[in-house]
Amino acid sequence: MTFFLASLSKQLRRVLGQPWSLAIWIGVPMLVGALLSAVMGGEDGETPKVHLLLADEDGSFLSGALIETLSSEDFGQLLIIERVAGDEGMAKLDADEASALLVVPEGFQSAFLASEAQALTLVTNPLQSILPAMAEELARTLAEFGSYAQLAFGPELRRIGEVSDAIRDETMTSDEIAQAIGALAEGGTGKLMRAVPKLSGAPVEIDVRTTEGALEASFILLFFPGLLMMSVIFAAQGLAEDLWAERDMGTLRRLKTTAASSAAGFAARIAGMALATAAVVLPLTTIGFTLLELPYAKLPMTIVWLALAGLLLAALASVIQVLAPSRKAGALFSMLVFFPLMLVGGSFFPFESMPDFLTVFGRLTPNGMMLEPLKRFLIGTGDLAGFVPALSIALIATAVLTAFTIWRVETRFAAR
Amino acid sequence: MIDVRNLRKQFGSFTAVDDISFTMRPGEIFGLLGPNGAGKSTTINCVSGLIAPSGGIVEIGGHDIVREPKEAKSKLGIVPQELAIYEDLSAIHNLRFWGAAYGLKGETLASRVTEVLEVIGLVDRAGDKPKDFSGGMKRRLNFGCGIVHEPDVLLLDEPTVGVDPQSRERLHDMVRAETARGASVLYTTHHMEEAEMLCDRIAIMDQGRKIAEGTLEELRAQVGEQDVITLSGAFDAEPVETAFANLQGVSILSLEPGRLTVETADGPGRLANLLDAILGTGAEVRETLVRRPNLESLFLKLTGTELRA
Ligand SMILES: Nc1ncnc2c1ncn2[C@@H]1O[C@H](COP(=O)(O)OP(=O)(O)OP(=O)(O)O)[C@@H](O)[C@H]1O
Ligand SMILES: [Mg+2]
Repeated sequence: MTFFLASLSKQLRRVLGQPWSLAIWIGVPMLVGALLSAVMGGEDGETPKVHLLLADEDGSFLSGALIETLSSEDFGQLLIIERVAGDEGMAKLDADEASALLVVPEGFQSAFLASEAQALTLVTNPLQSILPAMAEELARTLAEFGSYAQLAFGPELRRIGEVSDAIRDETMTSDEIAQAIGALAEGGTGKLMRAVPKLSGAPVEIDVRTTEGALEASFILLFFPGLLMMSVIFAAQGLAEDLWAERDMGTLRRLKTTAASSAAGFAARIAGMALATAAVVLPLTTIGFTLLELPYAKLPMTIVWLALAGLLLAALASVIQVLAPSRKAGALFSMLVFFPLMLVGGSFFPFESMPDFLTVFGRLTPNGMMLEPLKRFLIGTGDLAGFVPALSIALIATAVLTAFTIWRVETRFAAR
Repeated sequence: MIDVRNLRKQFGSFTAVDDISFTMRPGEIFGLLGPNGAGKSTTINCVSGLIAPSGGIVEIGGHDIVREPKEAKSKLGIVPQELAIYEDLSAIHNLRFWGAAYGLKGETLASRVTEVLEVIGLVDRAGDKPKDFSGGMKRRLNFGCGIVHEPDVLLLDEPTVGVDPQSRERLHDMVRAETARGASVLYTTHHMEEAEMLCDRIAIMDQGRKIAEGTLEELRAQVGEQDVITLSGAFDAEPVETAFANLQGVSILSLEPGRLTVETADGPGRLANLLDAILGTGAEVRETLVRRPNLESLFLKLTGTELRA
């Protein structure tokens, strides 16, 4: 324990003793962030919201009900739903005042009631990368529910349509209406119980279109987690390079001749890396949270997650270093590996703005894998459970990579 | 304290240490003397457990360094030939770290660190980082880091390389202080004066082999009371060899064009005689050197080459 603490304090002291490295790890991502927000039109500090416009071109009972449901639903602070007329919606979209426009086309109810396949049209704003994507996802979910409902409740829905038309056209007496509603309620409930397990198939389709528009200022939020990850990558590389510093100073060799447990030494190294990474990302995270008005309650989890990402990336960087034939080669290999990872892993360009095939690849990179759940968490579309898959992979990978590094240091690296 | 038996270390097909054996007693300074590449560091690295021997046994305080590394290493203190300190950590934090690495803690650690700072003369610079130290100060800290835990056995690998005479004297005092409290010291050097001055017993190494071992007196006796005379200038080997073959009581240790080394009793007295002989062959002599018997002449006698090649 004493040796663990001594190693940890040594590690942290030595990191603090390199103010220039620290400045680069913290400063470069900050600089990139500042440049980005300058280019993107200033930091208005607003949390981006999915601004979904709904246009009802059908004007039927069903379309009205759908839109009513959507707009009264509480989707949290992140989704603003606004009802508009079709033309007005397109105008707003063009003016970049919204993320997407969902159009319920004319003839929707008749087609729906006749169980015919029909499409809702979703027009998205291409320049707001992530937000329309979220709107699209949302609309698809809705469409699916619509389809289930149609399959299961076709006759009832048809009857509802008839009844509502009759009410509008005053072709039914109030007694008849009451009777019809009673029958619907009775039949519908029973059927619901039977139908739920069988729900499947989705003949309601979403027809996605895009439109031109200007950039939204809070676009910077999309970059923010990537910038934090950039900071983590720099720190991880620098911390791993320290193995060479220790080798060159001869301290790694000397340590091997002491009776000190190398497990304790490495545990301290890992703890030191986690703490150093946390300290490095803290300023940038705090500034970002403040400027983007993100809830501070999410800050601790963000830091913890970044520190964990730091461990994974430092473990990878350490393997590169202990395999390299020289310190220079180590630095070069490290850059050759991490620069592309940073490029495709969402640190320079958010995934949402990358071609699909690259996004797939990017999400598989260690940094991309760690970035995704954090991004969802910060934007508000993901929760803590979203961290679990990446967490498990990260822990296993870190353990394996670290075990390899220890083995290599003990057998070859330190004694050379 | 240290028992080395038939130690062998091979790097590929190259044998760096070849069948070395020696024993060290508590409180003794044991010198490993040899030229560059003799295998001194390799021997010390095998003893310290840094590299695995290819053969033979190393025991420290009765513990085999390979089979019981923890017990064996806990008795060791090491001052490596290359500096092994944190350049970016202050002197005091270096000492604290290495003390902790050897299992010291709390009060003991703190008071030992203070004592060692005193011993190595860095009290005033305790808070400074070694990267701003002079070479000699770094060497002293390097030494200090190996003695924080008062080891039973101290392995010193050329600790005075690049150190001025005063600092060297000071380091020798520190080494003697360690033996005074009962530590045994393995001291490697290629300076025969240093070995003569400091060591109780000396093993001479060359090309991985031990070529002589004993106290200074015993080693001197091996050279006999013969002085060593070296003549250098411009001459060929053959005529000189013929001329010297007739001289009584003079034997050639080494002979190459322009350089002759011989062994004889009463060197200063025989010098004129020797000069006559060599000048008689038409040689030109520019320098003569007469040495009393010492380790250097022993090395020369045993290997036919100068220690300081
Ligand atoms: N890791 C290694 N791989 C290959 N050869 C080695 C290795 N370490 C040492 N040697 C060789 O073993 C021989 C002995 O080296 P060693 O460092 O033990 O010499 P030394 O007596 O300490 O010399 P010096 O006085 O220069 O320090 C040298 O020829 C050296 O090249
Ligand atoms: Mg050496």
